[in-house]
Amino acid sequence: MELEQIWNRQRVSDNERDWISREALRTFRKRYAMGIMLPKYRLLVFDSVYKAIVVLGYVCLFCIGELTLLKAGTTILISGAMGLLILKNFRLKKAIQNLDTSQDIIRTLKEQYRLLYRFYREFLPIGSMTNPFLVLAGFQYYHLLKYQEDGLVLLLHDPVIYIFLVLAFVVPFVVNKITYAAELKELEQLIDIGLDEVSKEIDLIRIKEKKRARRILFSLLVLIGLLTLLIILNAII
Amino acid sequence: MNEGDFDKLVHEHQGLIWKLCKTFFRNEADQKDLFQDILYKLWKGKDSFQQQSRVSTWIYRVGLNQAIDKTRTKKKGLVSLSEANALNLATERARQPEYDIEALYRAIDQLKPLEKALILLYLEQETYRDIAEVMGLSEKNVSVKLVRIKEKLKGYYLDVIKQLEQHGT
Repeated sequence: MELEQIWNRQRVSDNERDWISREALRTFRKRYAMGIMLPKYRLLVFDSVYKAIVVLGYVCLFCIGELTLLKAGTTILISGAMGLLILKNFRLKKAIQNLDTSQDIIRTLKEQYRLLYRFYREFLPIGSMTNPFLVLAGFQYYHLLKYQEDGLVLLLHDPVIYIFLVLAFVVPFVVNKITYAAELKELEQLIDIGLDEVSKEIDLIRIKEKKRARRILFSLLVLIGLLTLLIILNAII
Repeated sequence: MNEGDFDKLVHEHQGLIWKLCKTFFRNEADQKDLFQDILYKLWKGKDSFQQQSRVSTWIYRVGLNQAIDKTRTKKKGLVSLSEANALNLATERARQPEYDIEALYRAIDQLKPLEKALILLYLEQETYRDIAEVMGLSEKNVSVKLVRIKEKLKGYYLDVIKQLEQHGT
């Protein structure tokens, strides 16, 4: 028997059956309207809240104890940086929200792929960057509780702290990089249906996004290097 | 489009949406889940519906995008016909049409997500032009892909039937 014939017999039974009442459809729609949230969207919201908590931690540190130029500078710098990163998160969140799923299948998949790459490129450093600040704030609070002062100057002159700060950035960065790379690979396999026209476009997106990711990572490394150099020079002088 | 129009539209096309859900998931809970997801997406994107394209094209696009997206979160291994499943099917054998359709759905389940989308549109007797419009492929590519997928599906279907025979039915 032909597959088409089998399928068409179902068509008749489908038409005969009243699948669901209009009243039930309305309930479905209303009940479910608030339920859908993309995991990435949730992650961005969570990360923004996390960043806001870190900023709050620094503001509290700023308000407690003696006011120094270094303390004021650190608080302004970290709050400013976190504010910018939260803004970046919101832009990314908006891009996820605006993803149009009424486009054709291949275009939607390509958009998702591009978005996932953007997430990979932007959120990977943005997300990991919060942790070193949290670690530093943690050390300061520890000092505050134990010695009644935040000990920022002391901490910045201790090389061991930098090992913790680097680890706080590198470990989640590497773990997330592996996770996102696997997600990208999975999406690539999904799109790959053995058509050259689709594969070529995916290759182009991949090359373009990899270049951008490298540029961002390079800039980040230069920035970290410059900051480290400044701190070392400050310690020597 | 107001609420009433939307409800009417979905009610008229719910058979199509259910078939789409059954094509992508064999588990009833997952089918219901997908149905609700599609409904939500249609409701959310009702303003993006352009009158110049057919309603079914819009529903297929939204529904298939959602179904493919969901298959990514619901990972599963290769489908094997367990003894329990086979017995279930065997009891349906008395009702031949349901038995054949269920076997066909099980065969479709072994295809990749995009292949499922293509075969669903083909079996629903959409024209190559409409399939190309929903999928975002050229008509030529659609026809080339469909020849391969149909062959593959026939093989899977025969395997399902063979497995059933081996389970003593």
